[in-house]
Amino acid sequence: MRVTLRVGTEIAAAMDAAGAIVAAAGACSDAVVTSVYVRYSRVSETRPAAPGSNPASRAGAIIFTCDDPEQFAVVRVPAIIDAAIVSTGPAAGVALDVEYPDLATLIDLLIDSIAVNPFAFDIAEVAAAYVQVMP
Amino acid sequence: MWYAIASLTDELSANLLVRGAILALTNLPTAQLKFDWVDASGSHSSTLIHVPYGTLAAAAITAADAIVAGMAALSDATCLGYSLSYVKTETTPAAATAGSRVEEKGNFVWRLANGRSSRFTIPAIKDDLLTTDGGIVHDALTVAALVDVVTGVGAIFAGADGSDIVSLLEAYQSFRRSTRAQLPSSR
Repeated sequence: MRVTLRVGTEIAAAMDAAGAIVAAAGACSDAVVTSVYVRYSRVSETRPAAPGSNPASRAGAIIFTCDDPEQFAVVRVPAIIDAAIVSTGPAAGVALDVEYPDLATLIDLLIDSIAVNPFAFDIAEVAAAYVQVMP
Repeated sequence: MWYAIASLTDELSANLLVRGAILALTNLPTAQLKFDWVDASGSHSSTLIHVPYGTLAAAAITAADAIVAGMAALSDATCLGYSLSYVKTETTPAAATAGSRVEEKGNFVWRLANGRSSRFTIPAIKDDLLTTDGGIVHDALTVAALVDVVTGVGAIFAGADGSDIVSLLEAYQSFRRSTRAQLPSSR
């Protein structure tokens, strides 16, 4: 069952509305509700061309430690650009250069932002970053 | 080198997806941001980033806009957009009524403020709400209660174009084809 809400509805109001409509709809149904999803979508007004040729399957995987030492977080950037990859030494072509300005900026942004790992532990610092190919 | 991000706009509505009477909905610890990418060959990939469940949608969207700009500078793919999902699950689901089938749908067609219509379905619609020819009784108590929730004062439900739902237009029974897994085991 998919129901549409007004754009700009905050999550608390959306979940309140969910509770109300599920109660009302549930009274009309012999099935039972197992989960509720509230999904906000933002879409590109136009569809720009991909700026480079690297495939989406070649991603930059950035591994973070979290405030809890037992926890980690992973962020993958598809089609990672060549300039962000280490080009010399034993890690050439595998490791990401965390000092590359745009990558350093993204890392700082993720650490300072509200991003967390799937278990809601705050991201602390980068532990590793490397190329990951998933065909 | 920063890559230009095409403007991201909100779709005209947020979607409330209900799967499957809720007894004890429990939220996941986080809400999930999923960014959709496409490369020059047309292949797709995605990035998942989590935010605390209590994060207001507006704050999460602001953070997401900043993060997507940061990622776009590092990617040869282009970001088509992203979704922010908050999920609650039923921890103790009750047993469904014996013999109920989700393929049997109650279709509820609503009139919007702009004159268009919108529809949602309720699976396994109760038989006692049906007329002999497959219509749904509009003034049944439970149907009237549903209409009140959807159209009543303070209701925030809308069509996909963002226009408010104002009244019930039609309600009727229909059937969706069964998947192989949905066929009765005793057949």
